Amino acid sequence: ELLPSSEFPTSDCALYDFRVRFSQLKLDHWIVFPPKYNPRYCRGICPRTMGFIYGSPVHTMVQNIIYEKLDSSVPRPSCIPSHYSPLSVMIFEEDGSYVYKEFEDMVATRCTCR
Amino acid sequence: SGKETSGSTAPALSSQRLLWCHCYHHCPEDSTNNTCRTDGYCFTMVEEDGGVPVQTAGCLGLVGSEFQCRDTGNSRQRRSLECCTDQDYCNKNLHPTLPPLKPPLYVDGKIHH
Amino acid sequence: SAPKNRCKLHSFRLSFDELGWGHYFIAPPVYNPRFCQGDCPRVLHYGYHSPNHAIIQTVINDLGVGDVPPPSCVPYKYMPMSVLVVHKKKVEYRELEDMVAESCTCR
Repeated sequence: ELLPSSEFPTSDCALYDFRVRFSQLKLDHWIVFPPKYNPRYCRGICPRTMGFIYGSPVHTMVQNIIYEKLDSSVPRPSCIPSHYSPLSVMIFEEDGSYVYKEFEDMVATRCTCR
Repeated sequence: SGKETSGSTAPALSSQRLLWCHCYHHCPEDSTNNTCRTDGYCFTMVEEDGGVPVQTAGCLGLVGSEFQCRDTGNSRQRRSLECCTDQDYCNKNLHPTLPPLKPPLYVDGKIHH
Repeated sequence: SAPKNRCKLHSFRLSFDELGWGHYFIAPPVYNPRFCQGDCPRVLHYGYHSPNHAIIQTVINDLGVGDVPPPSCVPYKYMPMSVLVVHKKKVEYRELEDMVAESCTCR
């Protein structure tokens, strides 16, 4: 599946970087470290002919055919994350203590079409 | 060929103890009597819609609840959300209130909202 | 009670001929793959089984922090389907995985 491709512009489904500060998300009163992170995100068109590249199920190909040939009000398959990685953060608890915690599925690592 | 709509919620987890919550506006497809079940929290939310506070309620999964239960709305719309998990339907006793309006910003003598 | 255009399952019945696969699939005569369509709400409730990433992406999009799209309404689980196909001039029974959307998620 495609890796980050901000250097190589494409309209096809791909993974993109996006660095954000927890203060921007109004979470910095609770998440004290790291100050920012890169959740990445998936964006782009899901072309019918490249379904195998994205590891898409048969249903995705069927939906693409329906969209292209039968009824375009049926949505085209969407470009979404298929794999994630966790993120460890330091959080400030209500009792005033600091706790180190790992959150699952915080960073998108691969994209697929569904 | 033709289109219709039908239920979308995955089957509930049988073995694990699930919490019952009151739901309004956030009920899953297969909900009955405005109730839902979750492995996480019940929530009640109030948000401003056209200047009028609108209250909704429902179930939040355990995954992501740390983030969703700390929801603080955004600059465009006032919103407040509260979570609970102490007993079934605990969100019936939650009455969140809208955050205060931000005072207008005075710059060079003019009001900027 | 729920917002009208909320992310959920929809039916779509068609024949394999319409897909251009009628020469291969001979049964069932009608196939309903179903599909997911609708808006992902700002509060992703339990029924959507959304991962943390989707919740963070919702916050980013909601706060307008960057040009990041909201999560998409897509199938969460699929069901297999039993079919009869023509293979080497013989009719064969097959069970094909992931042919029918069973539930939706926002991610």
